[in-house]
Amino acid sequence: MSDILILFVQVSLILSFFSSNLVLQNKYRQNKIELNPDIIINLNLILILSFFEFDLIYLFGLIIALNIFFIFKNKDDLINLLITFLIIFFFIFTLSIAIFRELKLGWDAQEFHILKTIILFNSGTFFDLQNTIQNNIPHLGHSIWAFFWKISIIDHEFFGRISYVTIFILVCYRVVIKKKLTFFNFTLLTLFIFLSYDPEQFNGYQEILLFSFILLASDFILDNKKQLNLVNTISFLFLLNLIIWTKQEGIFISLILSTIIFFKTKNKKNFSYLVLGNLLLITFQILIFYFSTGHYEIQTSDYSGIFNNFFMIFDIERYYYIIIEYFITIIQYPIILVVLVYILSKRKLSNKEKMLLSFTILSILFCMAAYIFTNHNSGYIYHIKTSMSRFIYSISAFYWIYFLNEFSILFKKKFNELNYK
Amino acid sequence: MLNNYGYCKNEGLGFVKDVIDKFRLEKKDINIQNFDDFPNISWAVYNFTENLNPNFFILINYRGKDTDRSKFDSDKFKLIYNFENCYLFEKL
Repeated sequence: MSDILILFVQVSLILSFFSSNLVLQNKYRQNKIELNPDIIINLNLILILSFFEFDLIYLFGLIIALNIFFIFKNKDDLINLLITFLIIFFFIFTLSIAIFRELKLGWDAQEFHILKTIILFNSGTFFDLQNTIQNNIPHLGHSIWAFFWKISIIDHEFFGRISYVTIFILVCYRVVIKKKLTFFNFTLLTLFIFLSYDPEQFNGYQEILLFSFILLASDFILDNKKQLNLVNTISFLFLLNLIIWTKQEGIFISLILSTIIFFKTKNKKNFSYLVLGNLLLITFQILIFYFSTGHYEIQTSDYSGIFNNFFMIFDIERYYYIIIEYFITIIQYPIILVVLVYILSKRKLSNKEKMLLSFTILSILFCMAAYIFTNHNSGYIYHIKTSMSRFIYSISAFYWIYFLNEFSILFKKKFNELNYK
Repeated sequence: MLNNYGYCKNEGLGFVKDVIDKFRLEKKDINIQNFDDFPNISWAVYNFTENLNPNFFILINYRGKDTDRSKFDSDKFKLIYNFENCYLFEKL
């Protein structure tokens, strides 16, 4: 019983940190700010402060004080705010209990993610992580985990990990319920969370954050009404920064996302700012790793001697394994298959569908390159079998957004037809 | 947690917790090694801010010094306790 009470308090604390997102929605809508910048700014703040010796408890206090200020300033809409809070709380609490019942850290999480988190939890900074294994991997997830572990009333890593559940649920809520909460929206949200939830991803892996950030990015990319004005360009860049600092493949995912946005952008000036900004963020990360560790490697040792591995490009057997595993994995996450079959059955493709197909081609090319050039010490088959499913899970977010949009349009159309009859 | 991390198999958290309690070992005085294809469970026990100069060695899935993976020479240590393939040794 006391565990449940502590869980209740912890979920409340984490959700209070993100509560500005619930309060400021009307303001965002009025000002055409589409990317929930408060979530993005708060997480970027945690990232930036992890480079300095700064007690993050002050950041928590400051954000909570700001959120209380926002609530008092927008107190006209408190009932809606409370309902939203309760729904999000319900989902976070339920998923947290499900994870709590089967408490387990995954392989990579035990091998290095938790060790990095413990260092940050013990007031270490990014530079202290350079003495650990895999010292070229981004640490945003570890910083978030350590930050919320630190504010919990019980000293257990799980209470920090609930923040991953919170970010996942908050983003799911935002991409499904855009204006008013209706019975249809609520059902769709429940189904979406139920179908996209994979307990394995909450075992300390970073892909659940990647999934959430891609969800947020693709919701912006695939919505024709959302335009790349200057504010959205800056917000999108900060979102790409989160993706870059979550996992190393984030660099390539950020490049793919900023490339395909070309199809929807009328304002080519903002598009060029976005691409340039993204390249600068990537360069900045590489330089930080290079100067703090004296070298830069993608996935430490997995791609060392990549140029010596160049002739692997002719290794037909590798292609065979990659393609077989890719198909096995998309059966595991069938949303990709469903969406692709639906799109390919269409005669004429809209911009949205062109973007989706470009995303598919570029992500498959990335996947191919990643496993063709791998130099993993347990062999490429092991590398493919142990990591591809997590990569596919994180990119499935893009397909979910398309599916949700199409499903909502189809449902509304049918509903209107019935009403008309 | 024991169901997931095992008693004297997988990561062997059950054995580790058990010997720490049974022999009242100080966390800064132990070193944990796993000789099978499982991650080291040290993260659940150590406090990484303290210097580790351990006197006690907890071995999980240890099948003797003749196996390929083992670099642990048990002759240089005193056996305190063992359960199946899990051992607690003390420095001589």
